[in-house]
Amino acid sequence: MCLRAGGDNIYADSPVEYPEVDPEWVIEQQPDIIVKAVGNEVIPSGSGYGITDASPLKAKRDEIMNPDIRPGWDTIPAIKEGKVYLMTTDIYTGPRATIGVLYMAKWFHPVEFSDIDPAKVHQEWLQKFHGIDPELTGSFIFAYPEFD
Amino acid sequence: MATATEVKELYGRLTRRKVLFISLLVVALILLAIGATSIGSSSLGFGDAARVIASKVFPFAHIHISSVENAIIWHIRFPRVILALLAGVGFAASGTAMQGVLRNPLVSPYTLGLSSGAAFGAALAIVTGVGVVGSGNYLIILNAFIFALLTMALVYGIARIRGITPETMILAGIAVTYLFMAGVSLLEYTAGEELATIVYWIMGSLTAASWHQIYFVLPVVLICVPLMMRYAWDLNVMGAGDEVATSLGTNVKRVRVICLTLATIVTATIISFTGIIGFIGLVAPHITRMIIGGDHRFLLPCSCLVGAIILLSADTLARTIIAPTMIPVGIMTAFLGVPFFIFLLVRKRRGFWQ
Repeated sequence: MCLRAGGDNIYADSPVEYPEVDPEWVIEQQPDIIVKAVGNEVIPSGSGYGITDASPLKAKRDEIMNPDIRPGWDTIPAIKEGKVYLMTTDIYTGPRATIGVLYMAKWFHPVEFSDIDPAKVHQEWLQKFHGIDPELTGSFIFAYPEFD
Repeated sequence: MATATEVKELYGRLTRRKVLFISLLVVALILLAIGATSIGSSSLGFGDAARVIASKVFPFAHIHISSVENAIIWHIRFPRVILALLAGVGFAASGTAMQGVLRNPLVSPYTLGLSSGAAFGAALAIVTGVGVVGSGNYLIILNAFIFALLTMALVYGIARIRGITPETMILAGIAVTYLFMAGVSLLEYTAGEELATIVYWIMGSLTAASWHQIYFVLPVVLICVPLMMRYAWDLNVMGAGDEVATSLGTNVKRVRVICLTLATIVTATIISFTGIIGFIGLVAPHITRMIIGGDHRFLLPCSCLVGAIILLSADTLARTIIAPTMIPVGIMTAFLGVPFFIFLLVRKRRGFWQ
């Protein structure tokens, strides 16, 4: 997803699908942007649908950026510049991963993708392929922070 | 018949051999710690590590270090090495004391129910703690610690009804272990995505090592382990059986309770931070016993050193073999320790217990 969004994944050649990596290596790589996928360990329903309160996502983001919890990460550009983004399960797996790619593309290249609104594309997607009226979906949060 | 002087001389020779062995272990451990601090998945090596640590030890020398070097060596690698040492020492001392007071070679914090209690506490916090995010990590640590202590109290309480003997303690421990493992399984069964978190916790890891953790673990190890060593003579006579030990002036019940309590506190403190790292508490005492014999005055400190060596080398391999991916350390301790253990078991002519 990262590569398709025009990003440069620091661990693109990982032999394991969901590896646990050494924090000292992450620090040396000095990533510019960190994207964290979140499920029901952060938001109770595990889905971004129907939630209005972004505070669990904010808490998780603060935890990633807290140097007491992740010592040494305060030297990483992504942490210094606040470029830490969270996205929910809804848009990082399955067909709707396309929406996730759009969010990433906009995070990675805000200028080039300034004319794209991932939330709007998501609405269109739901209407066109699932026949869901955007009015019915109510509130949702799929990415946090959406954009700076 | 050997004369008194011959016996004394023989004893002196054996003691010197044991002291030599301890010295060798200390040297090996120091070299290993230096090596472990010098390698990692980032490109920083021995020179960088030495500079960073020197700059901390001699703050007036104005040694220039970059913030990245400081972060990697001082905030990640070095605390991890220290925690591995402390955890190795703590697990091994607890295992030795538990095996000693219960006179059983199969005893470890795992068989006495402590680990499963901690696992249950952690799993409970991971599954039900959802929503209290932020304090999430502390919730897991505290819950694991409290449940580990509660489990030991439960095992002790059950055993007490029938009188605290090795048999009652071990059987109560095994029963309680099954109970809490069932609880963990139930939580895993009902868990959604937290399942991975529980599984990782149970596998144990030193990844989260930080100075904060060391502030808690260091004093506990520094206080409890020397206290256990004070009972080395009592542990020696208890090896001959409760009746013999009592007739020789050892308050068997008191020593048993004190040593088990100390071992519980040490192990519970460590595993609430690291998750379950089994095996060291069981095997470090055996490896040491096979090499230098069952005299607890030497066995306890040597086990500590052996435990620290096993855990530190396992963790260093775990984080460097397929770097930057890390292998859970519990897997590495077994891969590293078991072959050596089997080698000793097969080679040893004398009985492996006492």
